[in-house]
Amino acid sequence: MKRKGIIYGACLAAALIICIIWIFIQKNRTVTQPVAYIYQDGQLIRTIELYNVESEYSFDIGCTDGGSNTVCVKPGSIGITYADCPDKVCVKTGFISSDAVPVVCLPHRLMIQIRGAGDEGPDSITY
Amino acid sequence: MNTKKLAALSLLTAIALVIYILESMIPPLVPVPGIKLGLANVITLFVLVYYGAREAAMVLTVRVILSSIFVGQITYFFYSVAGAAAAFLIMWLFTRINRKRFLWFTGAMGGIFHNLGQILVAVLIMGSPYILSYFPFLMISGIITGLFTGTCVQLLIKRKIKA
Repeated sequence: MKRKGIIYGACLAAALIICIIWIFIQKNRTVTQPVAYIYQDGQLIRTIELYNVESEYSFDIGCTDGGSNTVCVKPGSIGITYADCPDKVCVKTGFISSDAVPVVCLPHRLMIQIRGAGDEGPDSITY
Repeated sequence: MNTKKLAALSLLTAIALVIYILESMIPPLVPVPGIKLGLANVITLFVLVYYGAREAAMVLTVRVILSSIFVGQITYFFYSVAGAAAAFLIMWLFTRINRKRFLWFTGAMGGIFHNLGQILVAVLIMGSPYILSYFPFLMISGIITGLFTGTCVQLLIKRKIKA
């Protein structure tokens, strides 16, 4: 019975270690020509070629049920600087410049994903 | 179901609801969507071990519906249902296998599957598989918070609390 506990513990430890290594590998990813794809309700609503951005600017994206997010674009990176939802997770995510993780606003079903200019569509992403 | 059990289960549901509401007042600790402590899961697992699957499913259903009424947004209801259902099924499986033993592991599995259920709903709602890149973060948080809730239940059961 004690062996079973050890096996369970080892499984969890292994899962933890794999996840931590995975996160570190993802963190070091870089994209040469970053392009931001903004999705709302699963639809692509805007594409921004971040490598062509000269100066910083912001714009608002209204949500179908009333909320809004302010997206800020900088040369090479993009982020959400304001959201009127209670949790503000998307603002805390900060600016992203690689395809490691997207910026996500769950309550407004808004997502910003970065891909390289050469990558066409989701199929070209390899994990 | 006798009156005593009904009262006990109602009380446990109320406790779970209060835990859930209090927890939702804590601002997100990390900038990753979907990560939370999941303390209300203590009650689910406790009822599952102490009473059984039917009772746990009842408490969980009432708690999920009431909590989505008390705490905000309709969008979160689907995440809540998916997470709760996935966590419930896996914890049920492991309490069938191990009974009251290794509850820390059962809790951790519950945490992992709760997040797995939620992220799959997120993929459906957001219409994009990219969200899955958050899964390693959710997996880590699920294991850690799940170990905590599992250990809590183990201590409760050990002390032979009469519910």
